[in-house]
Amino acid sequence: MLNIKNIILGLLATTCLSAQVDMGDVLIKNGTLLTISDGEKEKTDILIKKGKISKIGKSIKAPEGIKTIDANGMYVMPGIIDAHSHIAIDAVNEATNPVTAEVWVGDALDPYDINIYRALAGGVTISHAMHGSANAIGGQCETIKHRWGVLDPNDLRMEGAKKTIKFALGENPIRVHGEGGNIVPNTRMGVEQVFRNAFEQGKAYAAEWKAYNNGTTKIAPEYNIRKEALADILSGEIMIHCHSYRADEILMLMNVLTDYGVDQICFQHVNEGFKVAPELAEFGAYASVFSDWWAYKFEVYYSTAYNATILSKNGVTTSINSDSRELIRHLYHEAAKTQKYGGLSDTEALSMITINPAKQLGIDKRVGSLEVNKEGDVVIFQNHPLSIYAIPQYTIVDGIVRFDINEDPQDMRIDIDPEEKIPAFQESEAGHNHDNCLQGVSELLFEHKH
Amino acid sequence: MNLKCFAGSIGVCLLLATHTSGQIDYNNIPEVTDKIFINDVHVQKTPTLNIGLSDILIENGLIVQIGTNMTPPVDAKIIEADSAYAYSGFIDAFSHLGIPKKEPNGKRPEVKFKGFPPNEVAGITPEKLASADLSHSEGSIKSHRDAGFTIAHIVPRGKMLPGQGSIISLHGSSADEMILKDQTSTFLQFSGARGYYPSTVIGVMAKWRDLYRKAHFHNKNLENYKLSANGIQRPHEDKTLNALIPVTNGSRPVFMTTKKVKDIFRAVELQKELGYDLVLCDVKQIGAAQKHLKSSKIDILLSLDLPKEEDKKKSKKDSTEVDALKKSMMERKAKSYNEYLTQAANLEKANIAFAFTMMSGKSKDLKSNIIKLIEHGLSKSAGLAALTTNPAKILGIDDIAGTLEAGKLANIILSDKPYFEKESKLKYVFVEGHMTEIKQKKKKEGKGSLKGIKAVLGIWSYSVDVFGEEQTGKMTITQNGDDIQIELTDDNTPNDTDNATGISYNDGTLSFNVTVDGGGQETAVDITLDFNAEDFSGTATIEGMGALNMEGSKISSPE
Repeated sequence: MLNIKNIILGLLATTCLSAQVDMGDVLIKNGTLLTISDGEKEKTDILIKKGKISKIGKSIKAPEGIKTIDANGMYVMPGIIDAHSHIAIDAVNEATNPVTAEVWVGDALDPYDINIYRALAGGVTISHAMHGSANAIGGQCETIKHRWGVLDPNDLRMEGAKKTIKFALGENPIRVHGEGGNIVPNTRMGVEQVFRNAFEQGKAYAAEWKAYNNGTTKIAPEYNIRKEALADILSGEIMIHCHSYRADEILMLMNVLTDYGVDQICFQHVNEGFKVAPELAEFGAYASVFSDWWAYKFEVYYSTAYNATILSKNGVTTSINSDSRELIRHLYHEAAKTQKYGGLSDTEALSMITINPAKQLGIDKRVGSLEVNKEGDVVIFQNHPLSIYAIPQYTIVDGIVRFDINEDPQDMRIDIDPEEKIPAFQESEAGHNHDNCLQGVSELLFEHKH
Repeated sequence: MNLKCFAGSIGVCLLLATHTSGQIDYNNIPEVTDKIFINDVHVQKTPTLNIGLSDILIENGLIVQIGTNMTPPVDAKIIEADSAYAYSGFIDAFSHLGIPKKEPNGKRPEVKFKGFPPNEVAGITPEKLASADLSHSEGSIKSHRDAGFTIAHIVPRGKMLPGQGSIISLHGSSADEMILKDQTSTFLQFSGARGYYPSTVIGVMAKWRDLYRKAHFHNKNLENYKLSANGIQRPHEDKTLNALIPVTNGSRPVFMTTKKVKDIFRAVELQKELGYDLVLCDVKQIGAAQKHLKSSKIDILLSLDLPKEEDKKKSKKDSTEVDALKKSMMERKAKSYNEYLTQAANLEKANIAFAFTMMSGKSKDLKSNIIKLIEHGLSKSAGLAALTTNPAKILGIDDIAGTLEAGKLANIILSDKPYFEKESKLKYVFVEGHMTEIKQKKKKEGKGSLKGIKAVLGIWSYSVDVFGEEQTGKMTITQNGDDIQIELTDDNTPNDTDNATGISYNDGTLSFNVTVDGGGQETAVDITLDFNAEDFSGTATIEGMGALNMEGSKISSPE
């Protein structure tokens, strides 16, 4: 929708291109590098300068005054990337409408969410903060860097990451809108119709503006921020990440996208992806899955721990995600399960939480492997990250140590309520017995019954 | 001096004369003279300039002259200020003052589709005016005035876009009379429409962008159509978008509630993106967002609802038993408290002008809270500026208010000592020349504060005007030895009795607190009643909701 953007440029003051985020320098010596893109390198140094990897090699001389970490006997790998999470945002679901393409969780970032630090303690440097799955077309998401300690929400943003939007299939949108509001979608067919209607609207809107911009029509069409976003999906500017379980629906959405010329999608959860792996590969779709988690609702019974392996072996770029503030702390264990169930190699298994999610978020040129000129996001493990004994020691973002197991006091909170009740730590930890995509919806359902 | 006293007594005679003529409409007694002469007062002309002992002449609601050794006009009412301290009347830059809280009328409106509710349900009513909801008799106006406020910028109650603000004078026998300036601001909040679109902060932010840009294009279309309508499709009128046009063309600022640091960052992001003038309102926590406040397009209104300090005695007692973690958490909490209270001083240091707002917080705590800020580094002059010159400037009324200067509105407060001294008391508040004498309630000083309370012992009926709905009950005041007990029993729930605490009585004025169950949440109510022999009237002030009028009469005296 470039043309529209040009027209309203007059009233859009240029949003400042990324506030200057701090970048750091650090030299990590003598570690075993798990580069992902170039195999393992023993006793190798890695130098990060101004937030970027500037050198990888043996016996790199430490520039004067630079922080040096002795990683002798430790494993150094790229920062872990979680392609599906809901941490560090104050709102997850605008669950009032089956289509809310205009809302954006990036508006409600929370740099003070302690779960950012806890994710760092699990080696995760980047997460994809997603809108929930209450709506067939949910809101836009935000890829964030875990720069724990920054105070400005904008400093969490990974500027330049691909714009993404949440879609959802199946039970969630049907339950919220069909059962909850007695509107379309009340069935899986209805969900498809919501997509088609929305895409038709986006298409017509883009055409109206095109006609106006090239002088064919004289009256400016009515501005509509929702249709604006829908048109941006059709043009490829915004990429779909779709909550999905069943194979038939996954095929359905690929058919819809084909009809509208959209060729990019990442299916999320995609528990029955193993049934349609060749079709996903042919389409060029990505898949982001749980390692071995299912049966928390009816549509998630037909599942297998071999899902990631099967998808991967069929040529689908596959990642393993958390969708949980607890699971995000041990994604390396989740990746290791692909070795138990499917016998993937170390690099294949680690790719599931590094370069593959990076591809799915459109940031693989910048992160996801240890390569010169990539961003200095690194995690250092005691014991191999795929070992059950793995413990993250340092997590580094943009060359800055944001987690150091040796400097890890009990109270790492940033924003302290001057009237808090002490002890304040006893927040209820959501168990992992349901997916977290419906946060904020229960109130809506509850209200409807009354 | 004698001459002045004489003139004063003429005034009294005239007043008595009007009283003799049978049926009197007490609401419309004309004031005897519209000239007032304040004799011998320390004049704080601006927050930084005290010109010493002077006289002030008021006429027709304006300050006419300030000077030394002035001769009062013969027809002026003379106020002997006895070397009191005069300040420009305070300005509350942001409140719901005088706007009754609407009780939800039973059922919610029928909404077919929660994703596309009518604007009224969505909380999107930018065309509504605060002035239309203003009630001149609302109890909170008096308590605000008694605290020294003379002007307030009021905004309607509601959700995302409740409507437009007005600047009002805190005196007048009708809402119209009170309005100094109307349609001065557009009020925006991150408040979702609970269950309807937009229901979350992300929904509200997206909707605001949508409305703003729609209004921009709408205005363009209207203007084009005005230029030449022939052959052009007629743009439809739209009251919602019409009401936002002044915001999009820069002629009306957006006042936005931003209590916490994240709210400020979000509000500033939207402002940078869309470009209007922004006033951050009811701010309790600034934090790292202070860096944005130097912008010429952004002003800030600090809340005087300060966090409550940890009870030091209690925490000391605990600290012997707590573990290291708890101890460090207590320290961090105390540090955080300190940071909140140092914010005003930090703004002053950074040369950022700010005003105070009473949107949340109680007017009776005004001075004690500012004194707390002064103890945390704020200068007295900056504290005063935040109540006078700064709000006047932010609200665009600095030509008529904010300082004591000839030509400005006669909004003056007189304090017996310098205002920020702990023991100072307000004696008079003048709003556009209309004088209110402040009866000082003595604070509870041991048992002495109950002196004379015998006069009000007994059983009284009471009624409270709860937003248009009258609640009635009985109030029983009994004495048992040195103990005074006050019980309030609502007629609808005779088995449920509220007991008063913090009782004090002075010269016919009884004050106490009760804690009531406000829908599952304990709510503190401050009650102050002025007694006559057989009846009383006063206010019941509920935190965050304002003052309700309360009155009653005697049923029986103690046996």
